[in-house]
Amino acid sequence: MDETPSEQSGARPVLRLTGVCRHYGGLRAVSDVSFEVASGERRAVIGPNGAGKTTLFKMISREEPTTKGRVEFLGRDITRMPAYRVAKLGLSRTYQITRVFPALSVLENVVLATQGLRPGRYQMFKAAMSNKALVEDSERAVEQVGLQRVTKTPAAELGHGEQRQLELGIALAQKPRLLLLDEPAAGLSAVERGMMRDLVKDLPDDMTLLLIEHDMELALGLADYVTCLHNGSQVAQGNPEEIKNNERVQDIYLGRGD
Amino acid sequence: MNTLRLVKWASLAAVVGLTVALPYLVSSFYVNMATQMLFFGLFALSINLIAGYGGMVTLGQAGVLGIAGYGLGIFYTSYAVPLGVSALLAIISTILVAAFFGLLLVRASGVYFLMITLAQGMVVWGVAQRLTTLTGGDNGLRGIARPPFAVEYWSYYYFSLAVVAFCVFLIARIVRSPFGLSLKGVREAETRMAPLGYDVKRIKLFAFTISGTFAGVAGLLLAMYNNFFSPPSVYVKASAEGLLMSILGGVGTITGAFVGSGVFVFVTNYVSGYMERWPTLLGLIFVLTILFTPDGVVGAWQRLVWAPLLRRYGAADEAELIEVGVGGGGLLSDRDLKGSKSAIEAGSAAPSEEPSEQVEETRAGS
Repeated sequence: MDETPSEQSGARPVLRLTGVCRHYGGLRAVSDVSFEVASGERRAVIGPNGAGKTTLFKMISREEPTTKGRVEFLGRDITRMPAYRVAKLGLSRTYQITRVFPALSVLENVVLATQGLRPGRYQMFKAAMSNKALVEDSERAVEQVGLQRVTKTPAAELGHGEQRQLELGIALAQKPRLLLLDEPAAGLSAVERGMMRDLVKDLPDDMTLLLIEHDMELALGLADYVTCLHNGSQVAQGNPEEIKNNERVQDIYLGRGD
Repeated sequence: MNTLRLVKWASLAAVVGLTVALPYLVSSFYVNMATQMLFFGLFALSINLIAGYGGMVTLGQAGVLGIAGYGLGIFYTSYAVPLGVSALLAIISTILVAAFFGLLLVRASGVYFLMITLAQGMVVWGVAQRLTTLTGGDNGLRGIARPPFAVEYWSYYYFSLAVVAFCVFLIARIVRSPFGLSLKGVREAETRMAPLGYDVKRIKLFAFTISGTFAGVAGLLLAMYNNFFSPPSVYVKASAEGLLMSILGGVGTITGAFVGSGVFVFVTNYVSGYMERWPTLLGLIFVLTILFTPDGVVGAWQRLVWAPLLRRYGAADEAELIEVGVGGGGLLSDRDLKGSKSAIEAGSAAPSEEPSEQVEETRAGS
C-alpha cells in the first residue's frame, strides 16, 4: 500500500475520488468510494456483476451525475463539469459494449476522435480528411491497434474483435493522460484476449490506466493495484497478490459473500 | 479507374450543360418546372442536412422557410423596404428564429426532436393564419416582386440556378468539413460524442440554424417565384413533402434532394394535368421507394450501378463504403442489421493470423 501514491511523480494524483456516491432513488449503485490513482499507475477495478464498476466509470467521465462526493482529475474538481470539457483535460474511455460509428470508415472513426480535442473541430469550410496532420496522427493510432489493413472499411463491417480494437484506437487517438477501459476484452476469444492484453501492456508508461475487468487473471496480470467493489461499496484494495489472498474478495467471487 | 473517372466527369458535364442550356431547349412551362425543382430541392437539401447527415428528423422545416417568405413579403409589401434589403432582413429573421427554435431542440433527439419541430412548424402556421394584420391570413401576401434583372421566366430560372448552385457548393463543403464529420458522428453514436470532446448541443444548434438558413433561401425563391406567399407554404404538409423529397432521392446525399424534388415537381405539375388521382401516384412512388430502396433513388443507383462498376475497376474499398451506406442510411437503412450480421459471420470465421502470432510470442515469453 505504501508504494502506491504520488511519490514517483512527485505531484498530485491523476485521479482522486472522495466519498463518491450514485443513488437511483433508493438504490445505491455506488456508495462512498474513495481512492487515488497516481500518475502512470495501472489500476484495476474488479467486482461481480452489479458491483457499480461501470457506474463509477460514468461518473468519472461525467456521463452520469454524481449524487454525493467529489471527483478530481489532475487536481481539478470535475464533479459538475460537462463531459466534453473533461475529455479536453485528457480523459478518454472505452465501453464494455462497443460504441463506434458504424457507417463511418475506420479512419474516419479515429479522425473524429483526434479532431475532438483540436480547436478546428467545428470548422466548416475545409475538408476534414484533407487535414494532413490530423489524418497522419489518426493513421498512427489506427496502426497502434493493428487495423492499418482496414482503414477504409466501414466500422459496421468489422468483426467483433476488430471493433474492440477500433474502440481502443478511438480512445488512444486522443493521447489521454487517463484512460478508462471498461472490459476491453469483453466478448473476445482466448486468442483475441491475448492480443488485447499485449495492446494494453504496451501502452506508454506515462498513460495512467483505470480498468474494469471481469477476468481476474487478465485484471491481475495487467494492474499494479486493485480496488474491489461489491454492491456499490469498496471492500478491498491492494496489489494483485494481496487481493488474491484477501478473504473477503474470495468470498465474493466464490459466492460466499452477502 | 481512370475510365470511371472519365465517365463520372463526362456525365457531370452533360448535366451541367443541360442545366445551363435548358431555357434554349424547352418551353417556359418546363423551365418553370425546373425552377421549382431547384428551390424545392434546396428546401429538401436543408432538411437532408439535419435529417440525413445529422440523424435529426424534422417535420417543421416549412415553418422556418415561412419566416423568410413572410419576412420578405412583410418588409417589401407592407413597409415598402427595397427588395434586396427586404431579402436580407428576411434571412436575418430566419437565422434568428431558427437559432431560437434550435435552442429548444438541443436536448432532444429521435421522436422527441420530431415532435418539437412539428409543434414549432404549427406555431408558425398558426401565426400566419391568425395574425392577419401582418400576414394577410388566408389571403396571404400579394405583390412580392422578383429582382428587376430576373423578372422573365428564363432570367428567374438562371437567378435561381445561381443562388441554388452557390448554396449547394456551401453545403457540399460543410458536409465534408470537420463540422460535417462531427454531425455524422452525432447521427451514428450521439452518446459517444461528448466523451470525445464534442459539445453535442452546440453541434445540434449550429446544424439546425445552418439548415434553417438554407430553408430560408429556398423560401425567398419560392415567394418571389409566385409573387405571393400564403399559409399552405408553411403548413405541416409542406414540411412533410420536403422530408419525403429528401427520402425519395436518398437521405444523406446532395443529389438525392434534387432527384426527389424533381419527381415531386414533375408529378404535381405535369402528371396532374393528365391524371386526377395524382396524389395517389405520388403516394405509391413513396411507398415503393421505402419498400424497395430505403436509401432512395440515388442510393439504389449507387448500390446497383456505381458500386459494381467500382468493384470491377478495382476500387473495392469505395464500393464497400457505398454498400454500407456512407452518406446513405442513417435514417431508414438496415445498416445496423447488416453490421451485426457481418460481425457474426466474422466471429464464426477462423481468427486471422496476426493475433495468433502475437499469442505465440507471449506464450514463448512467459
